[in-house]
Amino acid sequence: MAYPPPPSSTKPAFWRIQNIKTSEREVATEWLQGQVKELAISEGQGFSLAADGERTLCATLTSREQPTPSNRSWRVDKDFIGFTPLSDPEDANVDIVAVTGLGGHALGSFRSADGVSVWLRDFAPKDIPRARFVTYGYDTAVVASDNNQGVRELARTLLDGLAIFRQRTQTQQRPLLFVCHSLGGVVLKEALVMSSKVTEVKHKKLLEVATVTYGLVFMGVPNLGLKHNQLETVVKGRRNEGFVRDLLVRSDGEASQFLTYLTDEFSDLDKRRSLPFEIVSYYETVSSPTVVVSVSSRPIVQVSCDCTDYRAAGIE
Amino acid sequence: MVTKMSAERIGHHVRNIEHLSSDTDHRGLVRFEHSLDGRYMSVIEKLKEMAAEAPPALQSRARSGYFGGAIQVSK
Repeated sequence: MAYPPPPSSTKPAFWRIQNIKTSEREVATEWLQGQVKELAISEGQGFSLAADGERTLCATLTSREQPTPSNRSWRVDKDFIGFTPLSDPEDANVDIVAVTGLGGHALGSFRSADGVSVWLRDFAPKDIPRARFVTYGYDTAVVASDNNQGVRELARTLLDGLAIFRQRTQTQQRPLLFVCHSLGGVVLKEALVMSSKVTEVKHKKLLEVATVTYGLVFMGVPNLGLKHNQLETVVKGRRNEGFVRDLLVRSDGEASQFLTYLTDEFSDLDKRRSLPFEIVSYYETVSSPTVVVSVSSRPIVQVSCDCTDYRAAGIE
Repeated sequence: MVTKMSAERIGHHVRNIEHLSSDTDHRGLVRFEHSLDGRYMSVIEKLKEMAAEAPPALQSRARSGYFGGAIQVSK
């Protein structure tokens, strides 16, 4: 996808460079170091370079301008759809996978105020050196355009993508932890339920995701749903029946049929497991709009909402 | 805003889930400035514990067999 060149004093943005050959690691590292040298980086390197396949590497980079690598086979994008590794220790024994909220950005949602650092890439790997950090991005364009896309379709895409990413990097058996923000937690719960219900041996790699999941850190996950104007925002002002069906809080203040089902299924899965999930859940104490929409290259748009109707359901 | 109540209703019956408050707004929950940020340190400590526990816990479960899924994963 082509982007117009940004003006010179633009804010830093996040870029992904894919299709770097494993044999180009040194060249790529040098190139990345050159790209970030103008940035005032307080912590970390401002870039990452990690294997995303048997013979390929994937880089991420903070830069004010669109990078233009001389190697034409390297692919640059800023959408971050799918799974992007942010660290890659040789002795990794656990994967920590971040799932942003719907409409969030795989890196941008986790950035520092100056827009340069991302804790998942720039300082967390130092604190947990044997973890591979990975972040997941959604295709919001598809979400917005397909009226039938609901939480199940997103969960299925996440599950398939994660299984394929771990197969490509030969890490299917590695223990998994998830960090989920906002609706990302609802999508992940459904993905784990789906994974645990796989019955066909040929889809074994999907089952393995739930099998090796150990812990979940939930950050402001709206387990009870969203109210109407928040849902409209998720799909960029276009009504999407799939999301309304799945996530809208009913007028009597109860969770939707889907969310009630998901709560039950997730509890059942947790009870069935010989090793229950370890779960830590954070909730915010400062009031603000729930859903933040970032549409690829455009800046983050925030919506306001009136907060009177749905207090009974735990949604403000 | 996602309230404490909605954030806590992860499963139906209340299991041993740890609930913690974070002194920020909804999108601030996953944004940290540096590695000495108090909110960051809380989250990273939780992840560190889980990262240390997960490999041995899953290994000993693998020896015992069934995990709760619809089919068994062969070793």
